[in-house]
Amino acid sequence: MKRHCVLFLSALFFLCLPKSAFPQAQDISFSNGLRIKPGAHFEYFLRKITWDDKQKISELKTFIFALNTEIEIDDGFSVSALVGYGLSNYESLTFRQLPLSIELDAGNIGGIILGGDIRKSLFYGNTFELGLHGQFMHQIGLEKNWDVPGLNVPGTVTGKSTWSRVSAGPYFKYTALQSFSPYLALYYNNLWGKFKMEQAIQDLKGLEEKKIESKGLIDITLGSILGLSENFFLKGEVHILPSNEGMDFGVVAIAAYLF
Amino acid sequence: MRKSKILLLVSILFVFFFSFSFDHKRYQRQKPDHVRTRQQNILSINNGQPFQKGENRYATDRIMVKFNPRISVHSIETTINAFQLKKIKQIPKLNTYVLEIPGQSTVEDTAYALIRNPDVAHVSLDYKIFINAVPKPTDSHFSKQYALYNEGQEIGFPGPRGKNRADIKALEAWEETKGDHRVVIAVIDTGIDFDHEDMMGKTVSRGYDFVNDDNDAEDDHGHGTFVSGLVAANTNNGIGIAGVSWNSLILPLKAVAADGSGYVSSLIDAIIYATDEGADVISMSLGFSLGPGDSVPELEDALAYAKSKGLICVASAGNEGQGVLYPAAYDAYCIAVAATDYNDTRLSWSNFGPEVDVAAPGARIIGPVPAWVFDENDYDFIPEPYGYGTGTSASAAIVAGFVALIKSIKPWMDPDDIMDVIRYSADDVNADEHPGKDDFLGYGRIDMEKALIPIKITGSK
Repeated sequence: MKRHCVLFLSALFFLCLPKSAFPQAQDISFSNGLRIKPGAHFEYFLRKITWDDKQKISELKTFIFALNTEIEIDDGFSVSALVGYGLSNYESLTFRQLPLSIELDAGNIGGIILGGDIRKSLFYGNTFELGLHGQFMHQIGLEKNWDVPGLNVPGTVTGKSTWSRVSAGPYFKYTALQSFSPYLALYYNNLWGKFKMEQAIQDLKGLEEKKIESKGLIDITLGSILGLSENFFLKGEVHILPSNEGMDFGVVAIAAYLF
Repeated sequence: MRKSKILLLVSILFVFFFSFSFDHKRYQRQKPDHVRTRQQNILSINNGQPFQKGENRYATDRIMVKFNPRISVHSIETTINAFQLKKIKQIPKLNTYVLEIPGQSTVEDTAYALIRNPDVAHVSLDYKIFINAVPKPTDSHFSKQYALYNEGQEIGFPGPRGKNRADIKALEAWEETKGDHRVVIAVIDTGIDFDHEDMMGKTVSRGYDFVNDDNDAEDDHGHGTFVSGLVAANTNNGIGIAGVSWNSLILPLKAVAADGSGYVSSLIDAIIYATDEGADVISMSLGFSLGPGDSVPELEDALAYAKSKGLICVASAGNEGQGVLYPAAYDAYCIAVAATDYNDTRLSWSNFGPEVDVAAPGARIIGPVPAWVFDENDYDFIPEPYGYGTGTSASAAIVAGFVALIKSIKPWMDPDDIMDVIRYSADDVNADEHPGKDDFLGYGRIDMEKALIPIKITGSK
């Protein structure tokens, strides 16, 4: 956890360095003041997660629907904030510390999504741009109840999950085309969180909190920005996260309007 | 100075970023296509591992061969004939043939030879597949243990047949745990036959004999050996029976004499001894009834002491068709166990009352018995040291083994919680007659699968 924070703070520090600190091949400096780009953010990702001290592996599938506002503070430097709703599906998460063990395979659990991005262009070439990008996302889980089937008395379990995700790394954007900018990025991308499960069957009570951690940490991202008009943009990304257990992936679609 | 440090950091990031793709390309360039194809073929046979001769995981007289799609049927047949193979069948959609290997060739040699043939795309061993049946223990009398796994089989010969799955779901539960050797069950009874073939090495010590006041709980009756076997006999050893908790150990405590009777004072001694010796479970297949208005607070105190130390006490309800006997009737401290049969039906002689928590099979239960117990004139004589028994004694012993399984995987659980798990997970087998908890079978016949295997939650409330 500490390691992740240090990495994220380092990335943030790096991004906040003044532009003059970096070599500039071609200084395209102009300033229009603050530019605001509100938009809608859709995301789906599948991550392999480990739990029970990394002994067990299962999958986390998440849909995110969020509103996103990007503020371009300076040319090449922008921050954005994101708020929305996430549906997380933890497959076959098993709670063996409860009095009656539970295997959860119950579909989506909702949660509030909060997040932020920071982006800094570092180097401009004639046809490309190099920069750094960092993102933080957090899901505050909402409680959900399920009946415990098969018992001779009524019983319920109540689950609540939270997770955080941090990603940071360099990107390479091809800028020669007028309204289409493909880019490639390599991120350090980590996800961690916990799942709290409470059991209540008459006077039999139990609580289990399970720490979860993602498996793949290297995120290779292919994306593109498509300018549909002078002010309206579409952005798409495909994330590939290889790990020993196979390939995780994610897709992101953002529609934004520039004011 | 600061600028140069930043430059260095940026350079490192670039090198890191680009090295991934360059390394990958270089790796690909170093591998010519034909070499890659060869390697894939070899890997496909045995995952790159050397063959282990004599393994029977795959057929030794047949092999699956996928030919390249452009190869004509004539060429395929020529290749098959060249290798002296015989076509067993074809899977046309996959362009794959299942081929019989001639007697003088091995499947491994044939596979290696075929891989080198340019017409062949892939060679696979024809692995044997098995249904995912729950494995049964190898114990020779397991088929008679309907209490553990009842598929309507004949229980002994001649013997009755029960109802399919009128059992405690032991096979399923054993997938989760077969017990832990650190979990000790104190069996307070007539002692144990230490030399019994199915009980050897299953005791933590020679125990204690509270009848003769010595350190040797040798069985001089047979009942103690029988119930101890049901709890934790040597299992999967090819002989005898399967115990409920395969790996748990027994602390034999003799509180009942050779004539089948004993004193409450011995029982109290044994409970305290078991507690102080660090046992986890106490199994008491015994009982007594109190006179009107009588009580034995010392026994209640002993049970309270055991519970305060985390021990779970299991006791039989009794076989007289009357109120529940003590110590089972001490509701707060004991799981009181009634008896069902091979049809999940309550046995008429099984004692009843509000103290009954659960039931377990107690009719025609096979268990280990000292060889000298039976003689050839006995109706149930079998020429081995095993015999059939009937009564809530057997039921209580089965539940004691069940407690040991729970304790093995959830050692942190306190006695009240374990008692609740056993109660709430029981199958209400007499629900038609007495829905919910009743005085006859309590919450129902125990179901170890529900208590031990994670319950799958698939829908929202």
